[in-house]
Amino acid sequence: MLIRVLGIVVVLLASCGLGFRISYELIDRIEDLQQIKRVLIMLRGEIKYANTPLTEALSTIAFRVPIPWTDFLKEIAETMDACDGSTFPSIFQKAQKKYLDRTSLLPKDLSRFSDFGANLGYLDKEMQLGSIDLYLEELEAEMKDAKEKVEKNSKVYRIMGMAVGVLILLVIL
Amino acid sequence: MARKEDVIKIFPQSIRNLFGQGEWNLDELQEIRLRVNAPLLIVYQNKEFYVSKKGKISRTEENAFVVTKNEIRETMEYVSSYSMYAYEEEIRQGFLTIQGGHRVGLAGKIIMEQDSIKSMKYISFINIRLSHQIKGCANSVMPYIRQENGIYHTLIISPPRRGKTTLLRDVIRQLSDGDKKHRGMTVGVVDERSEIGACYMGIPQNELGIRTDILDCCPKVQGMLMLIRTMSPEVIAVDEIGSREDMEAMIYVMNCGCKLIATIHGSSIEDIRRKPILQKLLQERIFERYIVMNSQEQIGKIAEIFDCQGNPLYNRMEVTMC
Repeated sequence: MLIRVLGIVVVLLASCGLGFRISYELIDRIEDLQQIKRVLIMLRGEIKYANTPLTEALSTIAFRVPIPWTDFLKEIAETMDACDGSTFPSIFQKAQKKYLDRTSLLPKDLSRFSDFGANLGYLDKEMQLGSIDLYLEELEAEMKDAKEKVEKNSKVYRIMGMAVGVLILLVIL
Repeated sequence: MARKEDVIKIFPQSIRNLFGQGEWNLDELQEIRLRVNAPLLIVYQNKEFYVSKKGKISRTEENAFVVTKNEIRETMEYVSSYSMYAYEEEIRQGFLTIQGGHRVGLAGKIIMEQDSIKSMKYISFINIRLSHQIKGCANSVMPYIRQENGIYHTLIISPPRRGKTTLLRDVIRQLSDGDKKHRGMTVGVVDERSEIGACYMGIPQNELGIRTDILDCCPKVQGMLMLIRTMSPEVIAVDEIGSREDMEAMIYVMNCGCKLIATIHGSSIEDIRRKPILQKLLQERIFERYIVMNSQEQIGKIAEIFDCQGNPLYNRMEVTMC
């Protein structure tokens, strides 16, 4: 009897946890998009007002963002400084794969971020700022969309998780 | 070693490999020229050479390594630390200074805005001039520049690429540091083209002495006046004077009690005398010493030194710098 009760509890907890996990993934994605936005705004300031080269700008910003963003930016700056013959897009992509794949960003977010990275540095100031502004606008729209999805689907995922658990129990029992 | 690495790291992998394979001494390298779809050329021990695909230097074009558009693009990325936007002003002027004090000259398509140069695109020609600091190369001229309790207003006259900036750099260093017999002097340097101090991110890559203040990338006229107002120098040093505005600023500096050391393009005192704007320099005896560098023999040799009246103080004094 005790084992049966324990089993029921485990199944219910697991299914509810899954529902909550999916709903939190949506919220975490918004946090991660927000983090990209913060990095872009700081980078924009460094370029627009101080004309700071990327190595210096990314090292400075790295101190003002949380992990894994700090590691991501530091790695780019250090590889650039070493001047090992890699192109900037490849440095950016390697660091992105190493540190940002474990965030809640969707593949489409990572792909867009990678495209942005490929254009960093080689453009002139005006175009560089234009490219940041365009990406900021896109991020804004993406975040708005993601927030609507959270409001709409967050509860659904949690209830669905619970319902799936109950359904499994009904089938087993 | 650091010097070698500073230069090598601005090139793409293909060119880095050439330098890695080469059996020549990078310390004797003076210039590296990259042109799209043209052979890679270097000036080594005062002579021009091709570089072969195996990294060997040769006087013939056969098997020469040809530079591609992508290699120029990559070089520009490394030269600008992947940040072209941060060097727009330097690119507009046609050169930038990299770590180690080396100068990278650029040419490509010029974008004009009204009557001035706005930018440069399609950069297809790169000339890397390696910074040379030869400490002690001014030893033989220092006695002619120094006087009791100070120095003379001095003009160094030299054709291009004969070592006048190298000489000026060492004069500045020696005046600034001083020695057992002479006290060190506060020297202000207006480094319009970043050649004297070769500052990289504000830090001089060449040694200019412990009492030297540098205004980097600053126009000479404004720079001289700024230094007088802000840094109270005893000596002001400028490179490549020539315009009427330069003359006026120099006279202002001299009237303020500062000593001046300058360089100018020319092959002799007569050459300077023929230039209308510069005639005044000689007529009014603005400078007290004229150092003329040799235009034909080896780089860095001093041909003559004159006093303010044009009397020779020394003739054919041989000071080898390279």
